[in-house]
Amino acid sequence: MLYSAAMTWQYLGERPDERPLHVRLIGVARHFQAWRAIAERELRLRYVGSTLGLAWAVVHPLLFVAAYTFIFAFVFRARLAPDAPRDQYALYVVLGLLPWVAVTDVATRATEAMASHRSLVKHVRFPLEVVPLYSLAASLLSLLIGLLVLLPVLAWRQGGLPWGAVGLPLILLAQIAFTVGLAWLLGAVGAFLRDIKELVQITFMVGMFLTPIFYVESVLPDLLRPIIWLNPLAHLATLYRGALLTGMPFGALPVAAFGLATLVILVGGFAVFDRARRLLADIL
Amino acid sequence: MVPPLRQGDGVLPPLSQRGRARVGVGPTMTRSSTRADRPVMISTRQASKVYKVYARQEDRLWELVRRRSLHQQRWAVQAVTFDIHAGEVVGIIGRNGAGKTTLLRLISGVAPLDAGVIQVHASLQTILELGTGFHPEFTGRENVYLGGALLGLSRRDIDARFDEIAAFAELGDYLEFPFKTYSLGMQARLTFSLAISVEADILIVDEALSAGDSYFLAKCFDRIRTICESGKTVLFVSHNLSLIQRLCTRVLWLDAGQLIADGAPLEVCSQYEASVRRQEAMRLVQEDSAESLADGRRYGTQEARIERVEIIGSQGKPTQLLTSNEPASIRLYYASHAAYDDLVAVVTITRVDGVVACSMTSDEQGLPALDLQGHGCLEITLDPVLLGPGEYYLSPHIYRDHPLPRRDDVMDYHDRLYRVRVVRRGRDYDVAMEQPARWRLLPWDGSPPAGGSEE
Repeated sequence: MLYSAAMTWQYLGERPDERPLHVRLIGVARHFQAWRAIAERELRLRYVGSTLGLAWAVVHPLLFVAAYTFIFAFVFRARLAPDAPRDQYALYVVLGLLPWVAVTDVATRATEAMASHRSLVKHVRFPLEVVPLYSLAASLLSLLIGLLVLLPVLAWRQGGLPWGAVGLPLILLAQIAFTVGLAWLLGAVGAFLRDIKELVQITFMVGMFLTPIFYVESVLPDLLRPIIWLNPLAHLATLYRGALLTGMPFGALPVAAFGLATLVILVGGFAVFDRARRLLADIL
Repeated sequence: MVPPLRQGDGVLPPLSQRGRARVGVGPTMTRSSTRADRPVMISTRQASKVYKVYARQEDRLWELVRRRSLHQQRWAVQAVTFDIHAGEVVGIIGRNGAGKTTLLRLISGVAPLDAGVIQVHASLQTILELGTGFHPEFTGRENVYLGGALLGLSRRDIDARFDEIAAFAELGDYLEFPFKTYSLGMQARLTFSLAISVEADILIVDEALSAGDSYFLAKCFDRIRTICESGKTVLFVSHNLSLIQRLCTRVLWLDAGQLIADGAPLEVCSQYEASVRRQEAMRLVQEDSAESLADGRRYGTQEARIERVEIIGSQGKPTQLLTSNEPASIRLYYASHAAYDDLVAVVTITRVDGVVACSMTSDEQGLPALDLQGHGCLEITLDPVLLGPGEYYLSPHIYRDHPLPRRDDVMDYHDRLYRVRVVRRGRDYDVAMEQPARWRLLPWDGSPPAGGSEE
């Protein structure tokens, strides 16, 4: 299948695609094969040349989970509640950190995605929507392997998983949609302004501490609470914990908040990318 | 299947194939009856593209904020109109920055048009650059799969074609080595092999073939011809005019974004070459007038002075461009108050690489005794020019011919102050000189030469 197979196209000056935005957004799914091609390339690229190859995709999240569990359970000896088990805090941190890393990794790479795939953008008819999403598969793989490692540990330490775990696929789906929207937004802006990459990196570095990953939300002073409320990634972390940690609330509020944020980012990101698309080949 | 190979690259298509293109030059369109019965694949009408050129990337944003124009407009392609029919191999020529690649990008739909219309009635495959979608870390095999996927081929498609691609590229074991270890020519082989396996209706090749060796080129030509015989179309950008003339049925010449000529390869290419030669002649004049101001390359007592040097071409007009095997002359205008009887005028011609090509001396070539009192002009007739093609420097000088020469024997020496370029008509041989020669055809009945082998 060619992307342009047996098609007739016509340019009449600056004629935009006149279908409504949501129809075009759904139409992106047509390009799944193109995304798979670019994502598989990235996946191989991360591990090509190293002797262990794809084994690193397993080793990396494994060590990641092990290191944080060790530090928070045995070095800091932190507890969620005075009588809570010691390793619960470690699981709390890891559950906040895994989705955070998965989202920010894709978003940071998206800022320079257009520039790093210049030859595709400039020289081939390629569906540009999938370019900012090139690292999505690789980071999802790390997340999934991390969760696969974590789930037995959670089941063992808590004596079974809470009922909220059935919602995990939905949370993942929402997280993917959120990441896609963010990647479109940053991919489009990053193509025009190289400084965005630095800006995004700093934002995520600071944002990591404005998100309850290493601490519990209740320790924050009231003044800082609104920041947490406006931070969609804080709600995402709450969703993960609510679904997988016993004793953590799985309320309607984080569901509604993250759902709304996802919708806004997804549609807004696509709208921005859509407007930038026709300029991309000229500015790179 | 890979078509049968022909060794060497001197493969010319039969004239009947080459004569297919419309003869007639100019930016306006006329219809050709031979092509019109085949379907139009690409048609452009007044296609134009303006680039906004910013000095700095951030000016793009400042422009939005300050609502002031911070860019310059460059017309990369300006009002280009043509139709391309199925089965044509169209070459696009022009100097750097003439808009060739931009035009291809407009046709392929990668870059948006700013005015005009382009209609493409076919699927389309572009290889605008060597190794698009290929990654240096991957092996050739991985690159075929991953690069092919980026070009829109599924894994099954590539599985089905892999052997054919590998056979065409003839890279052997190298397919299992990383792409970064390939030479440019090997990269071109793999890129081209993959691109033609896509089986699009229009194939766009932008200089991607120039790195291939002549053996591979001949193979590509055969393949491109078979592709076109099946009703497909090839667009081909190259600076290699002999390649263009061998391969294309029609040539478009772009200059500064405009379509200067559109017609038969031989005709358009020779026009283009003539224009390049004219521009070169202008450059030589400009550079030399600037250079001769630089002193130090002219010395001597100035008792006899060479005031002016003229090189006259076969047209009888001053020029800096000579043609081998055609007459030319050199004139030295002098002013002198030297009362010597042993003066000799010489013009030495040095090739640009330092080899002295020849030295013409007045006392050996027609003027045994030179009396230069007052003003006058010395003319040297070259009939014909025997120098091979290339760039040469002229060093005219006048000196006193002594058995024991001293420094003040030199009256005026212009050391390599004048430049001339020699071109060759006919084949573009790179030869040192044009040996005058004549060929004859003698009869021989096939019998062994009398007296057996020669001593």
